[in-house]
Amino acid sequence: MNEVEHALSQIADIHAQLTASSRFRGFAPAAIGFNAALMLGVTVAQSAWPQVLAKDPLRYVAVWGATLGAATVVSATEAVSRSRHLHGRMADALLGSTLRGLLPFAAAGLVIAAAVCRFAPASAWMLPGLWQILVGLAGFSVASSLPSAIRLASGWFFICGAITFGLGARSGALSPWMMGVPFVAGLAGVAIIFHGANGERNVRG
Amino acid sequence: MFEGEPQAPFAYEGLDRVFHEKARLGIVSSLASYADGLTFSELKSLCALTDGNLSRHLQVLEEAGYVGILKGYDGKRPQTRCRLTEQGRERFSDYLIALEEVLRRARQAAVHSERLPAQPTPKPA
Repeated sequence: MNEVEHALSQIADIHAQLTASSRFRGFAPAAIGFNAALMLGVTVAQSAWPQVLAKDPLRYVAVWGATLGAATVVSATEAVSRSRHLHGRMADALLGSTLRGLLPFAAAGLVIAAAVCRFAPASAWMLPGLWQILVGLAGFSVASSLPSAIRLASGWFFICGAITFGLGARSGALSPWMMGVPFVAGLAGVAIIFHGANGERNVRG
Repeated sequence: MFEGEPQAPFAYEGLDRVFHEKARLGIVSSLASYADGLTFSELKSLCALTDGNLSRHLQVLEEAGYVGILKGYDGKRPQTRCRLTEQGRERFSDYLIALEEVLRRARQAAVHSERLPAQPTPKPA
């Protein structure tokens, strides 16, 4: 490798480190709070009208899959526009690095749900716990570029996932609260963490 | 001006003079890896600078708004912590992109000159 190639490789390394150590501020507390409210609404609606929204395991999974999809779209849309505004020319690099951390877990959640619904619908009780564990792992994977308290929220999702999995295994039944309690409380916590981090940044300037 | 070319391709606006100094480049490159910054003594040993030199360069970076300096305590010992600001991170990213561009052009020029046929040496009269 000649000197120019060596210098280019060093610059690429420094740039990668700069991106990795930069805090991603694209996630908006309001959008995360909206998602928590959306999930509370779905939990209440599913409890009130089980014949319509949780008639069988596939219906239950479809309702929650659609809710998680909608929440992802809301957060992602807001994150793209907010990071363009807040991070300027570093926005693409920071968005890319955050996406690389989150996408594998989102894909795993989607593929597992599709496989269970297609080949083993009787095992759908596993999905709420697995989804929560995946959300927890996704949080840990991007924790270095988010406020440090996000590890607490990730731990919450992970522990809730394990408990929900155990409850599902024991009863084999799907309750709206198996998804509602972990996600509503967890997302409300995440919104508070991001709100607090924004406030701290405004104070520090 | 060639069509499709930027207005002044060799202006290198991103090559900010504040970063374009050996000691300050070392300081900023060290800070680039740490979201929470580094202490004054850590920076001093990483960049092999004296107290006076490091203070002077940090002052330049702070005045430009690229570095934030936080004075506090580690237990009972006073501690100075330095970190890149949001603006500093963005401008340093621009600087790295511009530097990369300079090197890429240098590499292209080197490859181009290697492909040119060698000039015949004039015969002595």
